[in-house]
Amino acid sequence: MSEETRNTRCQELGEDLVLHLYDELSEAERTALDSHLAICNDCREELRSSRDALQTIDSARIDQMATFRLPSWDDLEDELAFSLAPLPLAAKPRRFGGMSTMAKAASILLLAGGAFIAGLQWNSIADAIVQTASTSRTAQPPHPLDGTASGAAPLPAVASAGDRMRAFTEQTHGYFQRSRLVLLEFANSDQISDGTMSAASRNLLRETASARRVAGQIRDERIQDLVVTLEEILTRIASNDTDAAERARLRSDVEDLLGRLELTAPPERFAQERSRT
Amino acid sequence: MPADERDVLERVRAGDIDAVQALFEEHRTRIYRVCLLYTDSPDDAKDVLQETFMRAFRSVGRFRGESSFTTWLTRIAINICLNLRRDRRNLEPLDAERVDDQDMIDHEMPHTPLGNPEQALRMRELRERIMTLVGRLPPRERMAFVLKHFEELKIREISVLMKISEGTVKSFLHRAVVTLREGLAGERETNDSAPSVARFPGRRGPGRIS
Repeated sequence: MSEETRNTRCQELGEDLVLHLYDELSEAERTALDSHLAICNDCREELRSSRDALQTIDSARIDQMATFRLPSWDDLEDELAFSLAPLPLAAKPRRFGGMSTMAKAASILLLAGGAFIAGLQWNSIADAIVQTASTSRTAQPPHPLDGTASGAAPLPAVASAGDRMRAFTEQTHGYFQRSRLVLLEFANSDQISDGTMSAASRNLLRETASARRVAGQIRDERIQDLVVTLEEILTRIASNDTDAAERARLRSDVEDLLGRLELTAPPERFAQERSRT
Repeated sequence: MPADERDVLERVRAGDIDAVQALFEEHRTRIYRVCLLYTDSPDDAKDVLQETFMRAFRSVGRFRGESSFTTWLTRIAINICLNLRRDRRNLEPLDAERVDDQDMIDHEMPHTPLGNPEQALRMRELRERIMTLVGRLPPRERMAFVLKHFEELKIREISVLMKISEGTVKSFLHRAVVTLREGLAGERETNDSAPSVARFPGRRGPGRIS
């Protein structure tokens, strides 16, 4: 074999040397390579040094870093759950300042004397929120989301999430309750700046994810709007802005929102809390 | 598509958070591993992992089962990885986001029966060298190498995942191995003189090796 053909042959087989190391050659290719290796010192040398290199790489045990700081579900749950939410919630522009008009608040239906006024789908959701919070865990009522409320549009298929959903709803209820207390405090406070309230809001903001998740699953624009608004308000309280104009706007928005949040409180508890504050 | 996978996907489409979590749990390790080996940055890998699942969940309605879900998902991750560097290279220096090696050593100590600190240090240096070399490979070569060498996928599987011909995979792999081989040999020769990275003002830039 001439020098030239040998080089061409070596080039042809260059890839095969690597494939051989990864055991990716067919029987025929393998045989062909072997017979070339038997006569070609250069290729034998190349095979050897490639094998050494790959062994060196293996010896660094890089695979052990492969799960280094592997994120858990908890790390990404917020984002991932949120990515499931229907787009209106995710895509809704943030409206800081002057977001909630009275008309809108009214359309969200206020809780009057413990009775829910109209509002079909919303009704059943609000019901779920109140019921799960006010009934003990031992006396499990049929979950309101497991069926369709009479006259209501069929709910999306969240029912299969059964127990989890119940837990989420319960969690959201607490979030609403605690938020409401902070809002009440804020509405009744004359202080220009209050670090405690700001800190409480920051804490609450950590819980917004579950609320968003519930809202996302329920796919009701009004609930989503409530959740988004609450998050905005909490963000503003957390920022502890001392500007008087912003303070006044914020106070008015908080009062608006308080009306909406009463929805989620069983009336008797709400009364107790209010008398305390 | 297996029946239970179809079932889980149906539930994901319906917005069932349990199903979402189940899918995430099933696939996160593998996807993250590819991303981490490709990016050599836990932050980047986490971002890619998150973005992969977000895209997947958003477009799961369009997944028709022509490939397996695993393939579909991995493809998404690969595309994000391959685009990641292109975007970021122009934005920020990469050194800041690299794996913190001390963290890494701390993390590994419980699992690695390394005899002594000296050995650990040597291991760490070797790993750095290798990841630097791997990091300098062109993106698609690097991805092919990660999938082959670390993930131990077949050429055929890589070709499906990367949507390139098997011939191209082979050629990427060959070039990657040659580059790594020469890089390792070159570094061995110059190891005691200058930090080799400084000689290649490449992706990593100088300053990695102190």
